[in-house]
Formats: sequence, C-alpha cells, structure tokens
Amino acid sequence: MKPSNDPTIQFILDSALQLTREQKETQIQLETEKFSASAEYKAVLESAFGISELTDIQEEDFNHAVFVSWKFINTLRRSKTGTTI
Amino acid sequence: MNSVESLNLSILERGLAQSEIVAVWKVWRQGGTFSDFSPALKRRMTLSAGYALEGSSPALLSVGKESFVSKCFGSSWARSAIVQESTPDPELERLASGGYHSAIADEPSYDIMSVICRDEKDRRMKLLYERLIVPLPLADGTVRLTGCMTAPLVPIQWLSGQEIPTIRS
Repeated sequence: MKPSNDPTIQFILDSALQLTREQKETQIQLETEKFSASAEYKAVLESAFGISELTDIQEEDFNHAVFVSWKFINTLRRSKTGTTI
Repeated sequence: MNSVESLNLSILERGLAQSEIVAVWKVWRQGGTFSDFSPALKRRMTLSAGYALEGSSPALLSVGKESFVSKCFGSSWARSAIVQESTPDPELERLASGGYHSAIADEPSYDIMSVICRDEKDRRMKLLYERLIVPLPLADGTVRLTGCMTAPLVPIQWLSGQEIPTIRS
C-alpha cells in the first residue's frame, strides 16, 4: 500500500491540516490524561521549550510542540505494550 | 578506560551517596512517582522511555535544565533531547544501557561511571559520576518510564587531543 493510501497516515495528515490549535491542544491533553502522565508531559515541554503548558507555547513553536507531544504520547503507548518497533 | 561499577543499594539506605541521589532514592522507595519529586529534583533528572533494544539506552524524553548531562552536552542539545533521543556519544549510550535495562526490568540501578566521551562538537571530556536509575510508573500504574539522577564526583574535565591517549592508557 502506498503511504498516501494508508488510512492512518491520512488521518494524521487531515488532523494536522484541518484541526485548529485549540482542537490539537485538546486532543493532546486528552491523550496525556488517558495515561495520567501530566507531570511527565510538563517535564517534556519544559525540557524542549522552557515552558510547561502547551497553551503557553508561542505560535512559531507550536508545530514543533505538537510533534514533541505526539512523540511523547507514542512513547507512552510503546512503553505500555513493551514493543521496541 | 571507560567503566561502570555497580554499587549495592544498601549504600543508599545508609545515606552514603551524594545528597541528590539519596533524595531521589527516598522518594522512590516510598512508592513515589515522577510527580512526587520536588521541582528542584525534577530539574536535575532525566526521563526516558520504558523500553530499549538490547545494548541500547532507552530514548530520552526530557532533560532537566540543571541536570549533569545538560551541563556536559549543553543546553542546546538538552532542548532537542526528545528529538535526538540520545546523547551525542554512541559508546556512552552503550555503556550506560545496562543500568537502564535493570530499571526497565523493574530493578533500580546505582553505579559509578568513569568515561571519556564527546559532545556534539566532538570535544572530549572526562567524567566521573554516580548514577541512580529507577523505574517510574505513571500515576495510573499501567505504563513505566525510567528516571535517572546523576551526580558528578569530580568537575567535568575537558581534554585536549594530546591528553586522550595518555589517560586511556
């Protein structure tokens, strides 16, 4: 299957293009809360941006912050399953 | 010569390690999660994933701005740690991995590391430090990360090109 036909990739791309900043913030907040990982997530943001709240990230850094946030969430998902792939 | 010497955890119980290491140990021993550490301790710790390939350290998630590793590799590297996932020195990553794999297996690891490593600009440094790595479950208990506190035993020693062969021999 071509990557462009992969529904998961299509969903990620659509989300990145169509969601507003507030919707992206909510999505990420829900995911981190699902893992009860708020303290750890604040540490991740503090480490990368010197700011511990996604809502306080400046507009020019926001896309990078979204990337960092999903990388963190993905690590939590992998840590849960123990997979290294 | 690079080396890692594992130390008995009873040293921590007796409070004989450096103060920041003992402080992390005390919180962890009482079942503490990352949110239970004081802001001052969090600023000196690193957080990493709860899984890693054999012989590799887990991917870095956060680097406290006052952590020893941030002082060694610089604040610019520290800010990009979650993207880069590791320190700039693969040999250090390999050497450091054993303690992390203990923590991934739910066993804390306390050791002394003596290493010569390099930063992003290929500058060499000699380091001697204590290190405590603990498994850190998230608050809901379903996912485990790893937390690390390092404390230097001597200041960072930056090396010139001539010094490296002498020290390694």
